[in-house]
Amino acid sequence: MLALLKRYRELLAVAVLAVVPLGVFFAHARHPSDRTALDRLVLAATSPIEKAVDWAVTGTLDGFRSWAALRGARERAVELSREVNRLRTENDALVQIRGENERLERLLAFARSRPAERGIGARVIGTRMDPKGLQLVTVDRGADDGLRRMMPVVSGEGVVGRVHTVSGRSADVLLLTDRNSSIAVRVDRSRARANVRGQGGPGPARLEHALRSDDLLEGDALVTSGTDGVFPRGLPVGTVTRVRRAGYGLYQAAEVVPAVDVNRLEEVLVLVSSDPAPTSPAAAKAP
Amino acid sequence: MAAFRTLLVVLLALVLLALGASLSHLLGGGAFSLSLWVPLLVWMGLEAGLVEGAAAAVAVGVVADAAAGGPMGLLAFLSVACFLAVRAAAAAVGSRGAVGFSLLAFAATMLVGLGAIVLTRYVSPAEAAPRWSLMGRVAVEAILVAVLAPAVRWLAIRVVGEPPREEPGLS
Repeated sequence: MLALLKRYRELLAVAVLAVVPLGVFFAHARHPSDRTALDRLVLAATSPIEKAVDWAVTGTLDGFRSWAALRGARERAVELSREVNRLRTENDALVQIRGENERLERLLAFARSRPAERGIGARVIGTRMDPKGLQLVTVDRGADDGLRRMMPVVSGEGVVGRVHTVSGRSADVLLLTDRNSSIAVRVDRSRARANVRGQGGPGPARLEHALRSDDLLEGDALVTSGTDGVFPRGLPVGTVTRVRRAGYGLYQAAEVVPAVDVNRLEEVLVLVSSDPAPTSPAAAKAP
Repeated sequence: MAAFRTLLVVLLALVLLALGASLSHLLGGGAFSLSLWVPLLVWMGLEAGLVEGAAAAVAVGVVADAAAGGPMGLLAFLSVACFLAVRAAAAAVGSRGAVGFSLLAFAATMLVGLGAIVLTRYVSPAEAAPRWSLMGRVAVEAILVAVLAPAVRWLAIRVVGEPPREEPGLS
């Protein structure tokens, strides 16, 4: 018997190697309720091996899949980084264009709201805002485009200033914040008259010649009165802040926050023709 | 030494399983499978000793079972069956060349596929049993495996090395 086993040991080994997996397969495939004691024994014996092999194989395959998925990831990352930079630049440009578009739309809306006035659009190409000197911006339109001294300059928000000096293709605009700028205004709510004078800086302007008896409150909107011979009536100038009434004197004082932020000016409208200012004697005398 | 070679075969089978899955995903989007481990069985059937080869075939089959996620033992049994069938057929087929090896790989893949369907149908309830139409898919897989089989053999020789030759079918 032993000799027989020894003689056919290889065949027996192969037979065992073939039959055992088949037995394991049938034990696994059988419905749990149909499993015999032998099936359960086989499952109990092979389960740890199965788990270990499964863990090793699944881990290896997952690792390989991850490695395969990461192939070319660096090149892709560089490519995406370039794309992101390009899109950021493009986005910045689009934001600029959108901002410009919004400003121009406001300017256009302003121009449309005042059909009696003809304006020329101009782009700010230079600024000179010396705290102790002139507060000027230079625009890219000049005498060749029909600009003349003292023409009112506005933006979508309101009064910017007036044309100060003109050359062929450019002009300097004296801002309403300049000390030499004085604009005749009315309180929109009470129609009280006054003057707005710049203080030489981009901050608040000063309200002058507002009679002490006039109805003036903080937050009141100021518009041009049209009585200074420069600005047509009704243009927004600013908002009243810090009203001060002294115990004596004819006038009350206040600060005015300009409607236009002169530090952010980019496009303006030069009003080359406008409806005439009121010519009544009272209006002419008034500030 | 035989145990070390068996370990190398198992590791190579693992790599081939991963490669097959990746190729199948990349080329066919999972429309077909690619059992690149079957040519490894063919190579063992041609080159390895009976017991060493059968043991390695079981190990490869166990790994394939784990990777396939099917019932344990199915591919292990079919691997041994495939290994023995190749040993039996090798004498009849001129299998030393690339063409002969590819033909054997084709036949082995068909055998494994057919065996898997038959055995699964045998143990499954009728409504869950795999259909015979799957044989078309198996045939496509067998053709692809046959095309890639020489590369697998080249890899097996480089990784595992030439086992001691013996006349197939005599043991």
